[in-house]
Amino acid sequence: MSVFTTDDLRNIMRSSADEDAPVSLDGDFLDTRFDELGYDSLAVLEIATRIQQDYHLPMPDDAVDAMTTPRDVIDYVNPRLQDLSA
Amino acid sequence: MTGRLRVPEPRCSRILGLGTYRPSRVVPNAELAARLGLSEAWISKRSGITSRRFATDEETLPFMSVAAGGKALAQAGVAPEQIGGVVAATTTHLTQMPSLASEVAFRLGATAAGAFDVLAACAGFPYAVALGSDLVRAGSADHVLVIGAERITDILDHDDPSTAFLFADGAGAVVIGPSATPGIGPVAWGADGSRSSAVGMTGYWTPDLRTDARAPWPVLGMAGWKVFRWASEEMAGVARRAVELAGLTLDEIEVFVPHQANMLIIDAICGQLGLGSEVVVARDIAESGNTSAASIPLAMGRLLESDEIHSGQRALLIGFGSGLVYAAQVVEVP
Repeated sequence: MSVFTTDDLRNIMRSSADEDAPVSLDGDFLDTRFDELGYDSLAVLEIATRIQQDYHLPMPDDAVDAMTTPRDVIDYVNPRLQDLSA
Repeated sequence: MTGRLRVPEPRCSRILGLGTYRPSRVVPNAELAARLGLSEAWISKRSGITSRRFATDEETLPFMSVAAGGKALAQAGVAPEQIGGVVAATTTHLTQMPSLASEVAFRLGATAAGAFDVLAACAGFPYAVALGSDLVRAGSADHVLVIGAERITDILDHDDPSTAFLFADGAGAVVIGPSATPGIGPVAWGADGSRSSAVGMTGYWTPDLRTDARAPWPVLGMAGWKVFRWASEEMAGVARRAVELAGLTLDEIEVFVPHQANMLIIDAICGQLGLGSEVVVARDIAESGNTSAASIPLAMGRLLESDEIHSGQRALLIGFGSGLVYAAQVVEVP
């Protein structure tokens, strides 16, 4: 659990997706903006809340605010997960 | 001089009557969706709102407040001259002074009343109920008219897809008077100014408008997800505290009337509280939108009109909004 992979994020994003507006996360989605992927601010919050619960990693408002692409999430989570397990 | 300062004996208070005013103009999602670049289904899914009411030019804040206040007085069987205090909770009295409450007191003929406004945004109504109740309990007034009234459309950016479909207008009022038994429990309230950026005005009188008369009209700005996160994580605890302060347990609550901010928030708080299906939950937001300080009396009014609740039932009220501020109390339904 000390590395947060693209697949981990993809799984969380799929479970948080709007079932009425399915999005493809099959290709390279990491640098596409959340709003372009069909995730509004509440959906991004849902992703952050899932990570907070599943990985016991605090996700303060300022951090969530700065997450505009999936890569932002990976870049925020990984160094902090390593700190937690160090 | 041997006289001693005397104060009245403390007494109980309760809500004696409730009145509402809903603006005449119904605005369905279809009227707003295209302009905002949103679908009707998305608005409904993300807010629970299918329509809301916008006040016309004639439906001013005093007009709506007097209409709601007059109905509350009639239901309570209290004459205007018996009113010792008028407390108006509002965020949209843009005249600033004189207060909304003083004009409402004058128009209603409440000539013996002290009158003032309370600014606690979407928590304004439970704040004002707490004040009105304490005025009656302490003997400062025998009857207090508490009003929650808003014309949020006056401070709305009608092109902002994060707020324009959420907010709306309306007014509600209650008369609080003395009671032989407790009818309004102690308030559980607080303020967290560290979260002020979540929702508030985007511009100000000064220095913005004072230094640049062409500066844009100040409007309501909101990071909805921040409010959602705060409300869904913190408000259940505040609601529990209000129930404890009233000497009750949650399973003794029969009606839940939260501020009608967003159906998702209402659902989240209900889930956290673990309310049973026998508890009547106000969901007036579907047809009223978020009317800020007016939302709780409007929502309770709808439940009374549809006979879903009845006089004497125990209702838990909770409001929360810009500040961020919050307040909750248990009341007996009038």
